[in-house]
Amino acid sequence: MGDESKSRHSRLIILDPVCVFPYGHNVAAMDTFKHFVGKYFEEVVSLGCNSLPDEISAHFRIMPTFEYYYNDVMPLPDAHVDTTFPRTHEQKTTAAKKDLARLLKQLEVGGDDTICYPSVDFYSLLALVELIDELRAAGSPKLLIRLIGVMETASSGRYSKPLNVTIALINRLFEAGLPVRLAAETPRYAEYLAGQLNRPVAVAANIEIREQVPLPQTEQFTVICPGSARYDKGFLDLAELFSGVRRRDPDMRIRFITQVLPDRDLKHQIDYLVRLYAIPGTTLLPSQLSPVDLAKLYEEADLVLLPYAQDVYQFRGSAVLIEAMMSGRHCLALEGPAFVDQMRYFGSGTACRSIADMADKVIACSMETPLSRHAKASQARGRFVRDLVSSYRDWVI
Amino acid sequence: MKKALFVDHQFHQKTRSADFFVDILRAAFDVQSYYLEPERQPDDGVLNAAAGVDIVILWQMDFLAPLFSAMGKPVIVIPMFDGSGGMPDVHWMFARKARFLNFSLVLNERIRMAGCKTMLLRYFPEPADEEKLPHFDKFDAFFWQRRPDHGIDFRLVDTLLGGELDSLHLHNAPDIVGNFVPTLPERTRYKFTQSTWFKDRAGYANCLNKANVFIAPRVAEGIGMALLEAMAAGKLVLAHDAPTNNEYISNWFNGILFNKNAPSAIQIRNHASRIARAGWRTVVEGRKQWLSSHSAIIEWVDKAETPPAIDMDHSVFLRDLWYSYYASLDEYVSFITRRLTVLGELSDLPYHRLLDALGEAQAEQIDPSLQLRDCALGSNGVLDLTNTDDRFIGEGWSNAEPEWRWAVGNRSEIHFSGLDAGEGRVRTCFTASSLPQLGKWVQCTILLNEQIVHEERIKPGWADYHFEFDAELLRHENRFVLCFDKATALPTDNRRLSVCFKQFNFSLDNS
Repeated sequence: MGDESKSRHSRLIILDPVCVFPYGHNVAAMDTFKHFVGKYFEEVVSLGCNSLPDEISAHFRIMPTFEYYYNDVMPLPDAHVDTTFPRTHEQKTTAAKKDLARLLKQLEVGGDDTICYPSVDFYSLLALVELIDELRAAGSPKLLIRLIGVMETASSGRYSKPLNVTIALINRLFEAGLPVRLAAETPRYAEYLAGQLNRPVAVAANIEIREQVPLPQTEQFTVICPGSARYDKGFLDLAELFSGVRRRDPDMRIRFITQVLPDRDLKHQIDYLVRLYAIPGTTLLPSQLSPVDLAKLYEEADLVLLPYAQDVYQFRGSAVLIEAMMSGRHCLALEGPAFVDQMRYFGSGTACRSIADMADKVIACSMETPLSRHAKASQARGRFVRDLVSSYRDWVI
Repeated sequence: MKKALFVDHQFHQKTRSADFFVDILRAAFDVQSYYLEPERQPDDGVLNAAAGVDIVILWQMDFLAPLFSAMGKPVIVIPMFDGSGGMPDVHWMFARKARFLNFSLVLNERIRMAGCKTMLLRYFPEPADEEKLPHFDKFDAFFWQRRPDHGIDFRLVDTLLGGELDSLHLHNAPDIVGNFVPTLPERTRYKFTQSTWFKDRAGYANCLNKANVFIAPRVAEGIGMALLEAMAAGKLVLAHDAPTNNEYISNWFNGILFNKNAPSAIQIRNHASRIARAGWRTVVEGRKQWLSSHSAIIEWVDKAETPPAIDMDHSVFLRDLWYSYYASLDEYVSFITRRLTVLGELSDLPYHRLLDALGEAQAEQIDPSLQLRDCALGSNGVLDLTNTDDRFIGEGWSNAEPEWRWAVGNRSEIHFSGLDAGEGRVRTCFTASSLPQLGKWVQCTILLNEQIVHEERIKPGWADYHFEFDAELLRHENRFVLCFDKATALPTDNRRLSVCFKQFNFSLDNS
């Protein structure tokens, strides 16, 4: 975009109260939004949680702003339970409202500003509704709200149907006449929200800017399961999957690399971990990897597995799918999750009916020539990049 | 070249079982070995030996790590699962200034989660040449009866494989004193031979090499050399399902795991060749990984941090450590409890963390909705108390031992979920044995979610006990409370023990 658009959009304020962990996708999303969306603006301000480690906030220039409203759901490492984190729904609501009111005042937010939530959370939405009058008084700044099917329903167990509340809150913002632009991470979620809200919802996939990396030049065929392994990411299916492949590939040309559960879960799954470890050709990595190690993992990979739970990922996207696509790696995923639609559309992976089917498809993929795999991956990547740029431009401008 | 002191058990000077590791160290360090004899008085000479080196490496004798850390020496510890798998958190905290190398995944995770720096290793021996691999047109087994007292004995092997073998050689040379003469069944289809000693290693090797089926002789292993060498030679290996056996064997792919507590005949004839070959392939691939890990091992040892020395009489500290450790686990923990200041210095942990470890602190409550445990039963309805996985375990239990778990004190709790029966009866069977020192029986009252559902007299010796309860008593998460009328400490164990359990089995009766 040229200078013309910059003059129309003075300042982008990116907010994420869940930007608190040194690992994971929130910090990375802050950074990519700053560059990818920020290019349409003259100035960008990034605001994260005040519990984000100092070195991370300094490195990424993220201003510590918000209390952490979700320590009961996603506890901070070493955060003792009796600290001053808000615990009840009421405490969280109050804290979120106070934080937003303060930043509106401190940053002197006005009508030319754009407030952007890369992955909006429940209490931020609640705070926006609570402060409708203040937002109007400030000249109704534009609100870019992106929903990824994770934290927008984290309502402390207050509601058994929190998504209904989330939708009601968004409707309230529209009714108040605030300029709201919505986006969802996956087409399926966008369609669902658009149907519920009777308003347009853009599709804004996870932003990735990594380069495509060449396929490994080894005789082995390496299959990876990246990302922090979790129950809902199919960790407990891996033993069946790896064993199934191993039986069909007894000479061990196919190798597996997976991250394991975080310690809080792993300590209850040691017997299962031993089963996984005993499958020849399996390498176990810690639950958290640095971005450098994660990038190295994609470099070593021929194929990426996503045996994610259908129910949990009903509307959700997958950062791993996008990373794999950008790195030029084909994926195998179980049918069901929302990101499988994207995978199909871009041709970046193959859907599997079951774990046994996935094992068969691992074998089939391992038979394809690197040249063929590279060509498919490049085509998928190219289409995704063009789609990503245009969809974000349409949402933001 | 840095000087390293390799401290090992006297027994290994004879078996040479640590030599493969010392050879790796010798590539980068000037290694001097020092052997200690647990059966004797503590040997002060090891302090002088340590004083003259740059780094101390402990093979198995992990309890000595704090001593050398206190001397200001970088310490590397190589503990073994069979010796140290059941040690409490404070044991590892006491050695927190050391670096660890682990040959067992389970032990590695245990030590890592206790806050220590640890590196996981996987040893594989040299594989046999492919053309020398045994054939499986007949089935000749070799079994060294080392610990018949642990239940891996001739009778078990006969139960498992008696119907499949053409021959079985029993090397009847137990590690313990006792009369373990095998009683042969009246009719066997296999040829039975026996030895009690070999003149030399070659004699043993010759006998072993005639076999193509190998039964691992021990319940649990530190590394599992014998099993790995059998795999490397292309034999079909069978082993009890416990570390490290089950860390190398993916069941029915490259070996067979059995449960010595529930043995049944295993049909090997149609699978042996494929499984044995997969075992050999495992070693072929594993060997490459093992050799490529040597440089990382040396770097790990070389970079061990030098801790600040602690001003104390190291000779006295050695004696106290030695006597308490070899007296009993309780005496050892008691010793650590008396030396909290030193423990604090050696672990760099705040006082309250040490108390948490000693007192096995429970997680604090955050919110009732967050207290739900991951304690779902599997689809078979089995609640196995011998698993290292402790998600069912509440207060009043020992650590899991390979065969059982002790109820400690007069009250023990179990949590479970996943029995979502609306109505009907739940049949329950549990396997237990009371402590013989408590007399003919121990009265056990079982409460489910605060209601008494059963009373039983549990007798010494393993037996199954049955009872039923109404399915309506079940909740999403359930709490069993087991109350015992007696519990006692033993001369060698200060814990107040009453009954040991293997497992509970639940089945629904909707009729």
